[in-house]
Amino acid sequence: MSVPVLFTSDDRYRFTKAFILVFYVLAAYHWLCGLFLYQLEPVLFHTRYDGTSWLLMQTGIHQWLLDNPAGCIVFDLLYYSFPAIYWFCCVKRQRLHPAVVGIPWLVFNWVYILCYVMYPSNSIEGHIAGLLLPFVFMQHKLPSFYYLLSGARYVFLFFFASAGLWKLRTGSLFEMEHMSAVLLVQHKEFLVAYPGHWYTEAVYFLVKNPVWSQSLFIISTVIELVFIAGFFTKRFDRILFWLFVLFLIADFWVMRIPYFGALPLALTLLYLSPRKTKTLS
Amino acid sequence: MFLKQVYRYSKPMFLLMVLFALFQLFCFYKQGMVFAPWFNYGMYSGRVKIQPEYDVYALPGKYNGTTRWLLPQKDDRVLLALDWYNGQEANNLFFQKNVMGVCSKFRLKPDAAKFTIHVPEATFRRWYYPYASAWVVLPDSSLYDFKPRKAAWDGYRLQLKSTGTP
Repeated sequence: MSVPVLFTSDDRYRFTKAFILVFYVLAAYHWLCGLFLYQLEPVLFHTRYDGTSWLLMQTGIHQWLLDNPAGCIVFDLLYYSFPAIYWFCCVKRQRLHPAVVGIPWLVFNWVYILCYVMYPSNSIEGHIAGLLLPFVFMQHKLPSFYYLLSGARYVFLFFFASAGLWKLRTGSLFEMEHMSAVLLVQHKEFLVAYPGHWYTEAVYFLVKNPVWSQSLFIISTVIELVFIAGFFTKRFDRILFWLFVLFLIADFWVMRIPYFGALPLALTLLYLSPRKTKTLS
Repeated sequence: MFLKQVYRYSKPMFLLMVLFALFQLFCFYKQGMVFAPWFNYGMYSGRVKIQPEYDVYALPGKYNGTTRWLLPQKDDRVLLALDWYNGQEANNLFFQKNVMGVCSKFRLKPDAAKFTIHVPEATFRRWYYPYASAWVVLPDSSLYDFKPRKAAWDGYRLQLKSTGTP
């Protein structure tokens, strides 16, 4: 008889390791794109329609960072150090209770991310893992870690499935020229700057052939809607993870949107799936 | 069922998760204002139609098209900065209309100085030229007004209109 093996401390270790590895690979990509706070050197900000951001803005911390290179460097140092500190102090050597690093990590991530997306950088939705996962990592008890990580898995599933549901609700899925219009808005600067480039020609081909472009949109929506299955079973989690990776690659190719920031949250699909079974005689 | 297991394990954690889920569903249903970490994940869900004209920041890249294609976030940081510089007035109006509107419902008085922005052109120019010139070729003129140009969609390709920035 085969039974699913429970989430073990080894699973926890492997998930944490994978998270930290992905975090630093993404950090390297951010640095290459000039997206560290010290590289952005912000002088202006933008108010988002987000109540939590407004609370932070009331403190004025986002203005303190404007034209403040030293402040930006300190913020970057802290933001990119916390996962390493957690790894060495709470996982590798287990010298500290996870909450000792986890609580300041969580608080600082919120401050950093909410400030960061007020500057010309990228969207906050891609930082959802940074807002939620430190709360999971601060747990000492294995069951607490497991249940909160499972909760994060549901957040990820909702993130993706709701995007598909919204497309049904607005009717954009059934609008033949929708994707062509989206492509023009998304790439207009590139199209004007590089006439004749292979990518420009590929975009024009899709814009002028709405059957092709809308088919891509429908396929991506179907992929998003497939994630609803994850609410009922973990059996397809590995497939969902690879569908997500496929979506990320396609999003980068077709839309030039690097949504890789959501990858750490997608890891929950790999490390919570019931892949291991033990055979009992 | 997952929530039943959580309930058995810890009632505060169960309550936390139920409240989190309910608020997320509320934000999804309302489709308007969000409260991090509760977001609406639209991903180009809103209906869009092809327009006869587009506002375009016509800045040629310093490197070839393939390099620029590979690093879209470099474009974002350069183009968003222009967009937000030109959108300062809209940002300040957003504060008056939306932030004040929502806060007044809760009898809160947000500090306008924390939400509004007034970056003078000289300050922006001094910051933007070194910031962006490693990635795009900026017009070599102190008259460049950072405004977008009009580009017409003729059904075949986007064509920049001749009037606009120097």
